[in-house]
Amino acid sequence: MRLWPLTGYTRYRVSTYFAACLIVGYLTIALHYRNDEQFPFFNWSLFSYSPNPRSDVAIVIRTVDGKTLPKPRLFIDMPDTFLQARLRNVNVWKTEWNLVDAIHAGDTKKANEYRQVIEQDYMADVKSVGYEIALITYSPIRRLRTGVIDKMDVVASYEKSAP
Amino acid sequence: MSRFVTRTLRGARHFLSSPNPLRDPVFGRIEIEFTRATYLVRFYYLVSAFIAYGMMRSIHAMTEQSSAWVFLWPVKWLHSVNPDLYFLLEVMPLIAMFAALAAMQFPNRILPRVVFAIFCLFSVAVTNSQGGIDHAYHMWLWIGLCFIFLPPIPSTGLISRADKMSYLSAIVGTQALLLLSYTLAGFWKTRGGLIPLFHGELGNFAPTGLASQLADRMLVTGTHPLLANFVINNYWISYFLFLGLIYTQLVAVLVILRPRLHVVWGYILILFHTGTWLLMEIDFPQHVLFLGLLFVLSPFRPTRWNLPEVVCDVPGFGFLGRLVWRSPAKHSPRPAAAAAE
Repeated sequence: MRLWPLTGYTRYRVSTYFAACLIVGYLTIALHYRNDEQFPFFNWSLFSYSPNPRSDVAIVIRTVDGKTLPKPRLFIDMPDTFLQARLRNVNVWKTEWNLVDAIHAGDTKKANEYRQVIEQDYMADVKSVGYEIALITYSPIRRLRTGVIDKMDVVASYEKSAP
Repeated sequence: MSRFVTRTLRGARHFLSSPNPLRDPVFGRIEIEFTRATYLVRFYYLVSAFIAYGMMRSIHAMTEQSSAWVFLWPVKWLHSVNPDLYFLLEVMPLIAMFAALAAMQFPNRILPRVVFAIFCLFSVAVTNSQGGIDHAYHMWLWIGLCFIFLPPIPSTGLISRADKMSYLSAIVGTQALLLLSYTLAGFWKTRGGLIPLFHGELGNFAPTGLASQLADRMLVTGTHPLLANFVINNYWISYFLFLGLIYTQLVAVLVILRPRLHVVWGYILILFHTGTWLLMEIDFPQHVLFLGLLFVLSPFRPTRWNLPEVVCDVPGFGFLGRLVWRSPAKHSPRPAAAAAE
């Protein structure tokens, strides 16, 4: 088989092989790095699990601009304070998960990078914030109707200070 | 080795192909498919220019709002170019847009396609460099990467049959990759249904599976999708829809060599993306575009087909159709009219 220049049926055969290799290669990389997404490969595991009860990550706000809140509140429930909560930016939630993964992996550098994004970009509306990154457990339908969170485990406590 | 690969590919092709061959004549079919494919590719690059144009605005907004970045690997080098960082960020989609227009205008040149793929990769990487990765542009980018491998069409327009076949193979490879993403999504959903089922827990195959997902999504994002509350309160309706969706996604890649199903699966998956908006406020406009382009308007869609043939091609359930219609092709009501279509 003459390899170059590719002409006629050789090119056809090579393109068929290439298509097969592409599929196998994509599948291998996407599945191998299942828990550590390697852009632009993705395993397309989106909304694959609906466990009940469910564990999720959340930012719990305790103080804003030096004032302690009467009751700790979730970031997403404070649209009046944070623009990104008002915009319902799903990247906030994804960044929270990345931060938790980095903390659990002991990757301080990566954790700091994600923390910077949260504090400088997503909490840009306030000068100082006292907050916690927490794992919460709840039954989704019950929480939607009653607001009840069954369990809350704090992963890390942070303070965004005024520059 | 080469013989082994050829045999494996032939076996896979035999497994995936429809038991009822297409009625369009083979030689004439390739001509039609090739002509459609060339227009499809040019239209892809036209829409790519439009998408890159839209990206300019979103990247500009990002540069105004963001001060911290977590650059993905294709643009990691941007960390070292601080003074001109924002200029570089904003210029990337601009180059992608002009490359896309050039690729549309000059289908006989590979260079614009390569430039588009590189700068599309950079632009998509930039839009995903804020801590979380969004997957709206992923498959559009992959189409661009696959189209690099389309053989150039001579400016004379004269192209051999073998080159037309390699052109069409690249299109099939691209379609397979796109459908593979849906099959993967279906695979994980099936897994997420089976494992809890074996453990006696609630999961995707529980009647409240989808309702639970929707409630969780509303809590996580604070959104109020148009039909979410209705489906949560009437979860029996969504239960069967969700099972149907999981099946449609799981078998999507099996549709690749059954062109009669391209249009059907294209529309079903577009409906699925409409559903994700109505139920979860998740929109994938780029996916609707490529589903329309590569499946609803698939270059391989047959000109002559009838409903029994389509039913007999459905993966997993086609045998039921074959029990009813032994020769589905004979059930065409008006073959002459269909041929003229």
